[in-house]
Amino acid sequence: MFATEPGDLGSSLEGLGITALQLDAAPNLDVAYDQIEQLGAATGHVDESAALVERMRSDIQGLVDGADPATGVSFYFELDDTFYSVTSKTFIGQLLRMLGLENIADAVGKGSGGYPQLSAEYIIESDPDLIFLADTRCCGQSLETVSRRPGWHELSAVTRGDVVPLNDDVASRWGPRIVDLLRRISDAADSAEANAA
Amino acid sequence: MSGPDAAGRRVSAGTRATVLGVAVLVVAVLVGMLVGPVRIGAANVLRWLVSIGDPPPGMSEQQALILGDLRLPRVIVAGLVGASLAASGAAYQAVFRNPLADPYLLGAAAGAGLGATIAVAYGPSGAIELTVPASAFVGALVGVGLAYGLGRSTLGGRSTASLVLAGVAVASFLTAVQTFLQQQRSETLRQVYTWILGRLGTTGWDDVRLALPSVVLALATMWAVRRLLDVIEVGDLEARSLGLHVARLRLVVVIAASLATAAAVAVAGLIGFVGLIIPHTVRLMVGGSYRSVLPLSMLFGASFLILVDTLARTVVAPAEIPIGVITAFVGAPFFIAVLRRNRRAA
Repeated sequence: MFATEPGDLGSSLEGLGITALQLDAAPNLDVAYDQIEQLGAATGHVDESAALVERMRSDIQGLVDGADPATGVSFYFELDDTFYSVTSKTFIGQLLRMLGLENIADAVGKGSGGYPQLSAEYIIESDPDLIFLADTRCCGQSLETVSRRPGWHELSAVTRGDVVPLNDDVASRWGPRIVDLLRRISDAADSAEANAA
Repeated sequence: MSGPDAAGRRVSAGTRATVLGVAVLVVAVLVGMLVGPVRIGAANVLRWLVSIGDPPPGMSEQQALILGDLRLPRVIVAGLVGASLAASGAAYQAVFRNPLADPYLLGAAAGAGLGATIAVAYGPSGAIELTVPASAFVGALVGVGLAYGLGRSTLGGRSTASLVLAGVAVASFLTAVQTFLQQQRSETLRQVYTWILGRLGTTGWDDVRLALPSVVLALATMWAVRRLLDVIEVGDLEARSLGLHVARLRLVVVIAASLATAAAVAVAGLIGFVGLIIPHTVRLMVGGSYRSVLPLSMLFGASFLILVDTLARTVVAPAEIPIGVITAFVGAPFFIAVLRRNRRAA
């Protein structure tokens, strides 16, 4: 099984008589569900994969239903410590939007490919209610390191402690554990809303 | 009686260029402070600058924070880095008598890259914003030290070619070690590369404090020996016959230029082109004497990088463009335009 086709990987494997399944990075949840079912079919776990998809669907729906779409809670989602972020066009960005959260990176126009490098000035000015750190493993970031950055100690999310460390790997993959990630984000959004009130 | 006349004209051309250089730097600093992704009224910024950081009435706490904690240190660091790279480029070009010499010639970049990789892969993860630049700084100096030592001892050279060759060998070796470490710790890849692409986006006063002492010491040293660079550029034999201790002078200049480069790489990552285009542009303006070329390279290098960084943070605001991309994108056509204009004038 492979996610990236560099040119002739699939045909080469086929030529060697090795059965291969290409599953590209999923652009949205529906494709992720399809891929889990394809994988189930390919490995002889059709029922299990269908059940897994069903459980994911209902869990995610439950989280979305529980979310207040008009909270106006804003967030900054950090991919690394040079302020690369995600817009709502990306897989993870879509999930966050489903929870009714407002992404400060969406102010960036087209051409960023969904992963813009934000300007520090803009993050300070936006003063997001929540900061998600998807760079805890790659770059060792935490509430403590974030609060040491120039100008960041005054941010609402930092003073209220609404800086949420995430597992970088889970946050960038489209597997079943995305449900746990969403639950964590949803809980953080609830607490940020309460803190802001 | 053309001698004094010619000298007089040269002095006045140099003076005019210096006045122009200072004026451009002042304008660049003002532009760098006034323009940014967050709009802050020009009058407020000027009042804030005049009162040395005291927020005028009507300015929000946030705006004062943006000016004081983000924009001002970033402008200062861009200026220090631009001055360092341009002056180091000029100095290397003199002591190696090679117009293509740039600040990264002797393994400073490869050493800094290895230093940053070691800090990311094996350093404590809690204070990475301090350990990476510090380790890059040490790495750059080690890279140049190795190249210099190898060039002097193994390759038996007093010639500049042996030093340059040693620089190439050391750079390849250090890059190989860096690549090996990155393969071992593939999770460090992204961070090392974003660091290498340029880090002015995260600049604060810590970076000013890290860079300032080395940059001031190095620039002052290069400035002090600028007249001797004119002599060394003629040739080692000629310089020696004039009583100059060529090897010692070259060592002093290489140490100073490497110190400045190491400081620049440590706080800003790898920014290409500045060390080449600024000294050459200055030469086209005032001629080849290092008495003028060196100080003017500092002034114009600082202004150039401040203005380019202003572009980097405003063109696609609120997103940023890596500064190295713009230095090449703006620098190359600008350099060609200067060359063409100069040919037409001649």
